[in-house]
Amino acid sequence: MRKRRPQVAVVVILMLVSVVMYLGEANPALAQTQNIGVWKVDSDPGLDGSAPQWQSILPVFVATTAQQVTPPMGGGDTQRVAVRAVHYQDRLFVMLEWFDSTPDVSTDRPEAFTDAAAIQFPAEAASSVPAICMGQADQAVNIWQWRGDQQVQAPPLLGDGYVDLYPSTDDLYYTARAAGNPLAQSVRRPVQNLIAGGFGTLTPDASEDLEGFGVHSESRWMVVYSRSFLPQGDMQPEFSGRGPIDVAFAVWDGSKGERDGIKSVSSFTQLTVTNEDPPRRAVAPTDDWPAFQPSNPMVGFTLIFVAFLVIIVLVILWYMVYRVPKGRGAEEPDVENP
Amino acid sequence: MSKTHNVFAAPPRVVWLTVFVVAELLLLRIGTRTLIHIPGLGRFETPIRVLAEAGRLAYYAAAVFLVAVLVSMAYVRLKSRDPRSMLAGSVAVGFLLVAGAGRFGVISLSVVGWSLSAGLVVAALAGWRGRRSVPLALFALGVASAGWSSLGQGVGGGLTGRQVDTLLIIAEVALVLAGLTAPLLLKQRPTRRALLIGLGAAAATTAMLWAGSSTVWILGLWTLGVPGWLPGIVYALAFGGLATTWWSAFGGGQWNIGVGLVLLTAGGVGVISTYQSGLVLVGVLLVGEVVAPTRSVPSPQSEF
Repeated sequence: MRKRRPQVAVVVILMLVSVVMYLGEANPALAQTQNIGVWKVDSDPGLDGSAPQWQSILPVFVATTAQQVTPPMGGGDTQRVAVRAVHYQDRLFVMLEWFDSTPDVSTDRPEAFTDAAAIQFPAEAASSVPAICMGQADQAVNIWQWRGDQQVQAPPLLGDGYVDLYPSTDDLYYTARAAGNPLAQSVRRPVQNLIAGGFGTLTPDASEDLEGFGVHSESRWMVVYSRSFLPQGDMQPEFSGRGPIDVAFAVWDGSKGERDGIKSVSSFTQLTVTNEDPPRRAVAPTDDWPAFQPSNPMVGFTLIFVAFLVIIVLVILWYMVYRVPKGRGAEEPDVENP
Repeated sequence: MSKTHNVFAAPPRVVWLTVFVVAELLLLRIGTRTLIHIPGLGRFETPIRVLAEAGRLAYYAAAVFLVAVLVSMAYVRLKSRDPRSMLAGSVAVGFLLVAGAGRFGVISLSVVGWSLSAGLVVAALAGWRGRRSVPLALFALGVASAGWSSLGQGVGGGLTGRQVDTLLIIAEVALVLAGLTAPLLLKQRPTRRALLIGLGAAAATTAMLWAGSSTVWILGLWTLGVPGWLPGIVYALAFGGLATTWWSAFGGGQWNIGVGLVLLTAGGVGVISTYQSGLVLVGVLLVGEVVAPTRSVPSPQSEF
């Protein structure tokens, strides 16, 4: 009984310390999520991700997986995204690059879907990140979505095609445009600035500071986003460099039928603004691609190899469990029950 | 069932640590990320907030108990005269120093990450003792490989995409094999009931993964750091191996192995946070001490 008292006292003290730290939000642990540096550059990096000033920067690869939280679920054809970020004259530039052999920029048929990519930030700094899928009621998210079909002009009519004459031009007859649907506007913008506070609350923001452009080359997309550090509207983060900013990524592969919730998503990582020069690469950018993709023949080989390994291990396990004499371990000290 | 044949035979601090870790894992890492997607959220907002706060409290308690357990583990191991035990104790001390220095910004995140990953590998090697150590070695390989894939990018790293993928695949395969071989940790072979429970757990996991209506895949990535690139059946079998080992360990008085595996699973792989790395370290030390006991550390009971 006497021995027990100090143990109980220690447990009680530790619990009290826990409560105090909880109330004071004194987190004793350090988050080690992937950290993407926002490096300082001396010249305008531009919006062409295939340019040498972008390609020479070492990327950070962020793993992505199929969206399985809310219907419509699925996707996951893109398994990682290479991310680079720089700042120039108080303006943030983020470049996403991913493997996609087919550029899909036309949505001229019901079954045609566009390639797209999005960056998601918490709308405001908070002690905990919001729900990754569209945020939540008390923690909104700011989403920058680039769409391939919005970057190109609407395709011209072909052959003997025609459109009905539609004389009315006021908002009464263009309800989607009047409601602010970004896809119904006469001027196309490749990047949409969106705010969401849960499913079904996605709303476009009117501020026009956000820019973006995508380039498809050598079986990969390179999309650059750019916005000034200070936001023009509400519910959008500042990038003043006071601390890391949580960020998540999503990619849609149109030719694989990905749209809406069918996409590849990452978990939250962090962006950290720094005044250091960007790390430049010593290896050729082509060493990054093609990577571990479902269409890659290496995948089939890898899976067969893994299945083979698993079978071998199971056989060894079975042998050890059932063929080793029962006395095994008797010579070993019993540290659990000395 | 005798007093020593259940988890409550473990020292109180370890029991409390395990309880808080499981509560944090279920409430904070899984619960709040899943419940938030219930339709008609407004009606459930208050209960969800209460659960989330309970999860946060459990997290703080787990973090505090983790430090206490690591301190006591380090003290006992450094006091012993066994070189391997002293090495493991040094790793625990090093972990506390590095994690603390990182928390206060004295050293950079990458230094913290590399140091902790190396420490985990050293701690696993310190517990090496042949066949029974195979699962632990595989787990350490998985953690190191996943950590390298993350830390080896950016400044001073320069990993190419192919290298990152290769490291992640190695990590996944090593972790799956660690789960499959987990019964080797046991001192005695699993009973038929334990094997059936493992098969049942594997079947249930397979069903969940194939149904596609669950959040299992994405939760695996978010909470445990597993990208999920291999076929679902492989993960299900690995989980079946763990379930068999848990059942046998908790039912057979080998609480160190049962608790150690719980902490390893909750800690996940790669470099996520010093808290999760700490859980993995305690798990490695607990399991390693059972697999490779030393005369200088007569009983884990004495160190708490």
